Amino acid sequence: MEIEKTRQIIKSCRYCLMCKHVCPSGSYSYFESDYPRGRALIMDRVLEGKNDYTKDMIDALYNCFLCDSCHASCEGDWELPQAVRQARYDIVARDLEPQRAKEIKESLQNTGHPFVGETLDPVRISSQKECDLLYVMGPYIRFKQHDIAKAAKSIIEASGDCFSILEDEPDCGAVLDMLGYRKEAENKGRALFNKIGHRKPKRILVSDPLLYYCISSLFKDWGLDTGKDMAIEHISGYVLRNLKAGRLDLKKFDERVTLVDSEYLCRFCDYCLEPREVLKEVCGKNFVEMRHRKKQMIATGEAAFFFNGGKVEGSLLGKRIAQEAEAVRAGTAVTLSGTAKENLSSSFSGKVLEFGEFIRELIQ
Amino acid sequence: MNLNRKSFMFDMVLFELQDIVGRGNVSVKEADKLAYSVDYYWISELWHDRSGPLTTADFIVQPQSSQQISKIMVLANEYKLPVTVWGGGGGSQGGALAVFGGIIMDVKKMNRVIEIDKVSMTVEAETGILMQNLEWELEKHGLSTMHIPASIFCSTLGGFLAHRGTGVLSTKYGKMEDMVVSMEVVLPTGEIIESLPVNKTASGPDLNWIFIGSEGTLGVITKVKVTVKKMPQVRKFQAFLYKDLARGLEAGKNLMHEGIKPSVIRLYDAEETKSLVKRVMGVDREGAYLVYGVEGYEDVVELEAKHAYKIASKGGEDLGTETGKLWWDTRYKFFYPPYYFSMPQAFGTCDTVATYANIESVYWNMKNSVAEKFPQARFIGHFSHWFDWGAMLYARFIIDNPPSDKHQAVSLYNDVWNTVIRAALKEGGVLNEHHGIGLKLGRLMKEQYGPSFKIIKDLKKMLDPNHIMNPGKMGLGVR
Repeated sequence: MEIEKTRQIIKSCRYCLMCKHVCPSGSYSYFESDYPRGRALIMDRVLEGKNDYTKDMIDALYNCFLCDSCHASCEGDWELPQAVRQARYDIVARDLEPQRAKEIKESLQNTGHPFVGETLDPVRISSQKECDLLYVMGPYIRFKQHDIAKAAKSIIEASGDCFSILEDEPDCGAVLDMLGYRKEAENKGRALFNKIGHRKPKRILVSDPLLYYCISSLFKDWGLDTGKDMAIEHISGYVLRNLKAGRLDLKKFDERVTLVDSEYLCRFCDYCLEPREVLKEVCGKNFVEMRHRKKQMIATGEAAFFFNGGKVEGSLLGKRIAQEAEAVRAGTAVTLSGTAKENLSSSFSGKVLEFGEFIRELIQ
Repeated sequence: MNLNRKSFMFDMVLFELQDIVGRGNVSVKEADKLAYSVDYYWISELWHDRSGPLTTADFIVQPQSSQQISKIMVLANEYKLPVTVWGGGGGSQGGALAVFGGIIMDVKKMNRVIEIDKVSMTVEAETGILMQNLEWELEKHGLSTMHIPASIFCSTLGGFLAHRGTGVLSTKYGKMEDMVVSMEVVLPTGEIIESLPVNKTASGPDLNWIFIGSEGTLGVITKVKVTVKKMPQVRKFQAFLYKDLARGLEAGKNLMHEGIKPSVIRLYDAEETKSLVKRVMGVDREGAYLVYGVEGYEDVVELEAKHAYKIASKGGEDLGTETGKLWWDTRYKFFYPPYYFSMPQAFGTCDTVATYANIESVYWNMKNSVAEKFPQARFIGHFSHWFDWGAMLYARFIIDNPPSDKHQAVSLYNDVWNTVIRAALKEGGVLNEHHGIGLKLGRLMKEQYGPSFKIIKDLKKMLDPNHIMNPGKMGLGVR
């Protein structure tokens, strides 16, 4: 069993309750099996052979949003989401995963996007063929959040760069990996890696935090080395670099604005600084931080694919973030993912913009 | 007493519960039954660890209003189903375990902050709110209840009232119970009542005090108004080291009696200083470590700190303000794995409280009784909540290798408890200071109270004639 690798984590977390207050899936259903301790108890039972996985238990393990909030608040540094991911590998290996996971896998395999049952066209943006900068979108932006890609295009052009995109960009495999489909995920990742490698860009630019995490972290796990000559950069880092170099001219923003951190950029990739440096630069004192920020951020639900097999009510995840943004009297909330934007939009009284979209509005 | 899952009566009751709270707010899932079968009580952990059959509820129900709770009570009385209230599940006494099946009423969805009254400096909230979440709401206004125990992350406002919790700043701000202004309660028979709008009255006994500390045996506290304070301008800490416990206790007592109002005083005995203080804080010294804090306006704090220093330095070695602040910064770390005790160790927190005249002999009698009868056990303690008249001892016993047979382990565990508690009672201590009674100490209630326990039992009979509320707890037995 894969969860054997995380035995010590499971044993440490199975009776510990100290992260209850930060778990978004717990405060989504409020049932104890949806809190970290509930999951650790379940995994402990399976690990010790006291229980086999039941449907209930599998649901509880798939209800985890893999946001790492529990780990980020843990004084003992126990990484329970890592154990949950191992459990999902075990569940998939035994063909026990929830039907919804299977549907998402099939959708990713057949259409390249995870939106089950939806017929979606990829965004069309014009680009050039042989540029040093390659903009990779990921399935969320490519198929649903088109405006984020368009905003990125405007920023790149305003910075005077030439950029390419991939025809028929493959999914990177992050979602599949999180759902427990390790082998399929790796295959997807390899396909993307090869396609990127074929283009030989000097820089890979992404807007999507999950994609950034996938290329900078999962690729390494899969032995896919992008090499020293190929840097990966998030759009916020790109903007910062060009601002500092005087290549990007942005208007000052004179209303109060706050930043909604991303679990996959900040927590998992330690990429917390660049977006706030940009906001400080363009907003000055109008940039205000929320109470929970950086690694102590409130999870946005970037990996909340489904809950008990059904749709995740994103507004429930966005509500607390919205309250915090309102507490600092921010009129605009800048998110780092389309998912965060979507989840926050219905709860926040002000304006919600994804980072690139926000920057696009400031281009002189 | 569990309902037969395969019988149609199970479905009948399930349907009625779903009708009251909504389909999505009732769980009969095995995953939830597992998760609700363990709280922070060592025996429930042991049972889980050693593959014992789990103590489970039939139904886990999440009400969203007092009216729904009222309807659940009526239904439970009709079917004579036990009702056990569950907040955060962080209790160490087994108080939230549905030991006789029936309904677990998880109140965490009742988590609204109803009103922050800055004029009267109170907050009214539903009791299912996790304490840290309430604190974050108050923090937006520069306020705090000042009830900030280590369990703040996992326990609810109502949970703290149920077992009379104490926070780390209790020495200045009081226990949870001292903060209560008024409350709403759903009685076991379903009536929804309110205590008077304020508590300083001369209108007979204060109804709040019937329900505070009743551990869900006399009703469900659904809303409460508690006092709040402005956040202090500064918090200052100072640490000292004493050669022995007696000198540390003397210093603590003097801090309380010389007109200083410390927010916290914490005195660790030599064993805990040598083990946990060293492990968590990295302070490697022999003796009794003491830390105190003062807080408020900067100039007032400076003055208080100056006087406190003069008092505490008698017989103590100055470890500095940084070492004091270090304790504050790491205070929660003590309760995380791997710093906290865990299976397969057997461990228990036998907190007690006594007057200054008695507290040291309570400590020694508890410690010696454990040492004499259970040489395999370690005994450590610290004094963490100080009152004008006495102090609270947070004592713990730890057995690294309890019997592998779970029945023998329970027997040994209870034996240690009986021994250590009786040792405390003999010297003027009590069963417990802030963790409550629950299942763990229920059997000792009549021993502590003597004939006066009848009053509590009669109250139970009167308020809960069918004995549906949290049976088996607080020594009140079952119907």
